Parts: sequence; structure tokens; C-alpha cells
Amino acid sequence: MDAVHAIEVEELRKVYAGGVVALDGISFAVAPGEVFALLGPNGAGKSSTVRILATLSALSGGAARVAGIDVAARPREVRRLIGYVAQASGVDLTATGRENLTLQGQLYRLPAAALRSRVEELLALFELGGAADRAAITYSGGMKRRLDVAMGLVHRPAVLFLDEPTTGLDPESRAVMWEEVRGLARLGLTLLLTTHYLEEADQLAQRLAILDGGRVVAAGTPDALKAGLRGDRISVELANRGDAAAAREVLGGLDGVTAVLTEGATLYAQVAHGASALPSLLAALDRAGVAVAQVAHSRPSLEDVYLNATGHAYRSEGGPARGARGEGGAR
Amino acid sequence: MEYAADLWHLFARLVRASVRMPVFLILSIVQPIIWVLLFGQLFGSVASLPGFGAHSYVQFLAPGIAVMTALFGGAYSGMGMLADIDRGVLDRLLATPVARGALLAARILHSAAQVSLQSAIILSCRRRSAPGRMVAPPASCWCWRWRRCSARLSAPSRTPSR
Repeated sequence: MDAVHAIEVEELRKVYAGGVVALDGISFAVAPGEVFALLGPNGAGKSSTVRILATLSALSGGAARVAGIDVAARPREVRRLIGYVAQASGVDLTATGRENLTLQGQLYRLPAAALRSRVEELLALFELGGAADRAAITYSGGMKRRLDVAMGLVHRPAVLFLDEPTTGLDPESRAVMWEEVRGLARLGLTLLLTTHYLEEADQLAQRLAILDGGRVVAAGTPDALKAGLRGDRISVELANRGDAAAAREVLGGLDGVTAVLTEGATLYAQVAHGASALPSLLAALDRAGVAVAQVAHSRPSLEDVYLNATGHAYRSEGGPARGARGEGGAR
Repeated sequence: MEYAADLWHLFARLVRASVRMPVFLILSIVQPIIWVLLFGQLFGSVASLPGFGAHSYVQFLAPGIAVMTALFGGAYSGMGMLADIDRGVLDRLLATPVARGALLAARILHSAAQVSLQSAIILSCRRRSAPGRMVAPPASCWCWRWRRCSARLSAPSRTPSR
């Protein structure tokens, strides 16, 4: 591969009017043909990043480049290279699927004959052929989303931004969308997708960056991130919140426990081998007189990566440490 | 050239939407006619007051209705723009290389076309009364509409974009 990254973001900052800091110096790079995910709760800065890369929003500091072209200095060139599928559907509801696709192609100045065949190709690819001449207002949520993605692909972009492609979809449509994304990845397209579903990033992305409060808290391949945790997680929910400090001390002193995090009445212990550590852990708590309401043991997941990086459990609405104003609620 | 092509495609989109939902188009054309007829009949006798400057009340009323129609048309045009912003359509369009001015100009062209149609109908009502002194309403309406639309777009984005 050549040295030019498909997407390159350096120390990117975004401060909205009123002093809300959405991005606080994030950096990442995406290689051509790679599927990269920005994972984080609402308000972490995912959409702000994508909007800056799609030339829809001005950056406040740092630099962002698509295929080596600076988005702030030469936005017109960037727009020809990218496809943008927004979080809010950009489908014109009064127009049919075919008309939506055609207008999109016309605005990219595709020649009429090439555009006609491209539209047919996309309608077939996204299984919208049967509904092509129906107004988009009659489409189901999944169909609208597929049309959105198809519209982002009309001009064969080198880089496609998918901003929360599956938010608000039912599980079945989500599975279909995942397949579409995998298909796009096979076409050699560079994909930047944002999501607040840990599972989605785990399933789809070759590499990912976890955002929290406008910063990158962890980055790498899903496997490397999970392997970095070295071990399983045991979560212990205490009967009394007041015992948390005592329980933490007990767990911290046990052999094989590498880290303990407390959140409310729940403790998360990082252990080398969960199943064998569990009996001694429970026995120790019992000796200390700490009543346990619930215990769970799990293999490392991205959730643990997030927990480990931020110190609080993952919630799609955003962690407790963050400011009150989230990007998701701004619209 | 690209600007003209963009303008044409975007204008076609708006016309298509109007034609597809003819209720709004029909209402917007019927409403001023009803006003002219209703108020024209209701206040018809006002014209016989001494010192009333026109031959008939309809002649007096029609230019006002034409201007009012243009104002409402302008407001509707702005509403359409807001709907595009809310639904994410504008964002999607702005991420394409489309000429920025064409996004505005298409709306203006569309509502200008609609208002011209309305004004023609209203003025043909008036024509049946005697011709009188009156500035051509469509010209002034267009000026007003242009200012209104550009004010909307140049205003800071309502959404602190995500």
C-alpha cells in the first residue's frame, strides 16, 4: 500500500459555540480498504468527527485529511471522493427510490447513460428493485437505510462514511445491514463507521478507536484490545452499597486478581483465569462478611476494554463522568 | 454550466414534490381566489363611499392579496428548507459537490414560479374590473423572497451539528 492514508486525523479539536468541547484532540489513521470503527457512547464525538471529515462542519484545531487532501483547505476535492451516510436519513421522502438515487448521481455530474445503469445496479445490489418506483415515504426503516447507503455509493466513492448505520433498526434489519457492510468491505472501499454498539464494532471493524468525552481512550484491532486485558472479568454485585470499599480491599488482596474497579455497588475484578478464581473470591468475601447479590464471569469483550480505559461501564447514553450536554441530543 | 445543471435538477425535485402532493398547490392557488371573491363581495359596498380611490373594492383588494400570497409563499418556502434540514436532506446534499448557491436558487425559482401562477390568477380577477394604477406585484414579491431565503441560510446553524 502507498504511504497515503485514506483518512488521517491529527489532534483534531472541535469546540461548539458556547464552549462545549466535542473533540479534545483526537488522532487516528485509516489505511485504504480498511473498515475502521469509531465506537463510543452518544456524545463521545463520533458524529462530530465524521461531519468534519465530510466537510459539513468546520474544525477548531488540528488537521483532517481524506486521501491526503486537507478537508479544511480543499473541501471541494474531498467531496468528490467521499460518500456520506448521515445518522439522520437523508432520503427525500416524496421522491421514489430511483429518483433519490438519480438526483444524487446528477449532483455528482455523472453522465446520464452511466447514471442510469449505476442506479439499476445499486437498486439490485440493495434489493430495492421492487420498490424503486414507490415514494420513499412508504419504505420500511431498513429499506430507507439501505437506500441511504446506496445513495452514498452512487459515484463510487473511495471512502464511505457510515454514521450509525444501524441505530433505530430492528435486529433483522441490523443483520442485513451488517451483511451489506461486509459486502462493501469486500469491494475494497475504505469504510469509516460509527456506532455505539460494542458488538457491531467487534463484528465489522478491522480496527477501531474507542472515543469517550472527545478523546480516543483505546485504539487497535478488536482482538488486540481484548488480548491487552490479559484475563477474564468477574463482576460482583453487592447486596449493600456500603460494603464496596471493604469488598474492594478484599478482592485487591487476592492472588491472581490484577485489577479491581468499583462502580456503585458493582465491582469488576480482572483475573487471570475466571473459573478457578471464582471460589476463592467468593470465600474471601464471605470471610470478610460482605453479602453478595450476584456474581458473573465473562470472557474479555470490548465492553471490558471500554471499562478498563474509562473506569466506568459502557452505556450507550454516555458515561457518568461526561458533561451533561451530549451530541446525540443536540438535534 | 454545472451551476445551471445543479439548479435544474434541484428545481425539478421541488416541482416533482409539488405535483405529487397537489393538495398544497391547489390550496395555495384557491385560497387567494376565495379571499378576493369573499372579501370582494363582503365589502363591495365600501367602494361607493365618497373619497374611496378605486372603481371597485376588488380592484382595491387584489394587489394586497397578491402581495400577501407572496409573503405566505415565501414562508412556505422557508418551511420546506427547514424540513430538509430536519430530515438530514440538506446535510446529504451539502456533502456532494453541488453548487451551494443552487440549493437556495432552486427554492427561490420554485416559489417564484408558484407565485407567478397565483398572481396571474388574482390579477386576471382584477382585470375584469377597470385597469388602475398599481405596481406589478410579482417583481416586488421576488425581491422580498430572495431576502427572506438568504436570511434563513446565512443565519447560524440551528443545530449545533453533531
